[in-house]
Amino acid sequence: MKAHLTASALALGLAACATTPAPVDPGAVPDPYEDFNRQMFAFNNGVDKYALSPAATAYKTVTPEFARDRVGDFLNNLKSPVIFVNDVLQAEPHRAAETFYRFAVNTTVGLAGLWDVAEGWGVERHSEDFGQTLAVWGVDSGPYLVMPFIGPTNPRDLVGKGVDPAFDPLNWTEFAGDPDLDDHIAIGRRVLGALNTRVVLDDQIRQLNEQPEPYVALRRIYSSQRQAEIRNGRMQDESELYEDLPDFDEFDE
Amino acid sequence: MKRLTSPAIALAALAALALPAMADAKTESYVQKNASEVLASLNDPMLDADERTAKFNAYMDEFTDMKAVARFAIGKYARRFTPEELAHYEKVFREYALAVYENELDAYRGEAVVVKDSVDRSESDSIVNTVIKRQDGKDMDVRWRVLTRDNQYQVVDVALNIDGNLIWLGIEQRAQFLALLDRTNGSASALTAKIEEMKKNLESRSRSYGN
Repeated sequence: MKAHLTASALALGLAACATTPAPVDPGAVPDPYEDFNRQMFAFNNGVDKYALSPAATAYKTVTPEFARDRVGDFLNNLKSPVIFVNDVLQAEPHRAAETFYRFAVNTTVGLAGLWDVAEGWGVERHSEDFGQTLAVWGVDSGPYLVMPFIGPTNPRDLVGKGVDPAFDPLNWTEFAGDPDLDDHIAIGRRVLGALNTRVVLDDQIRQLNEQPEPYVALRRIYSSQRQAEIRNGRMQDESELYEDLPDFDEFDE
Repeated sequence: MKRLTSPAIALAALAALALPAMADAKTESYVQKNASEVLASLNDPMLDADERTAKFNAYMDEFTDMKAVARFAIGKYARRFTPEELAHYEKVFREYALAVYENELDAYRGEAVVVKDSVDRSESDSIVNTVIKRQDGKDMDVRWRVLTRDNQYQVVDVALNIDGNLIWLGIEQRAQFLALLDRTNGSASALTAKIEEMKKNLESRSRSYGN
């Protein structure tokens, strides 16, 4: 493997010497485990094609859009405690207050979260997770990874995924008389969440698969989108924003 | 003297800092005028679909340097393609790019382009920041990269700000084209076949949405 990488690096180096210096690519994502990641990407595509997509199509057929919206709002509301804890851990009191307010309003006025009333009242949903919290704390993402069933990620976000369930009160709840009920609820949430999300993303997944290199497209989109989420949707500083744009005339006549 | 020097240096430093953000009024008005005309061509109720596409394409040909964009999208392969391969690729790319831009801009149902400001990367390379106003109130933050050559302005890339994620359409396209070309040993026919397939998919989607 090492020899292969060295040979590739040498070949790249020679190619670069033979032509002009490699142009800057502001969205380039280091991918040292690309062979493994591509295999996992192909595996996930197979799972999507033969299991998730048909199941989501069936789910879409039997549920009207209104019902799917209620399911989406309900599941999003259940995530509020995890978002709230991460808002606090990131020292974002304003966003924490928004999450608390949204949870209180949607759980009561929104009938157990079935309606996102708070959004209608001008307090929009935002997402947070422990992977983002680690990033805010200065932890490096590590290399790009694609994991089976999880999809694009990195070591930092994987740790985040492992920690977030600890912030979820539903995972700590034991139901008297039915000790397995909490596990069943957790599985139900995941299955329903996966189906609902797959239906919402159907168009985007189809467009991604039509791209010349869906693997490369997803790697770039995931990484830049994740960075934007970590910045809470704020743009980079204007002075840095355009610094790395590639030269346009390099390969012109 | 010393007293005078310090404020002068401070002013000079401020001016130097302000330089990259200085709005090039000509570039800004170029984007304002042309982008508005392009949007107007999409919103003109007097035109049927074919007339609209023809008018839109004519504006885009003036507004953008499609040849430069096409070559940028294949990077080093622009020198490796044969002249015939390059000519065919540029033709296919132009048709696809125009279809993409028409589809994207049409999807915004934008009414007006409002220039916010601009940033000069160099004397001949500027970014113009605009907002496309929409009827539904969901205004779009769109940035135009404009190059000046022989005193002529031309747009070479467009960026969309999606929730703080600035996506340059040309750069994203280039990353994928290069990956495909690297994988296929620089095959021009593999790339042009893929671009033609993408254009067909785009057109069939547009038709199914009733555009």
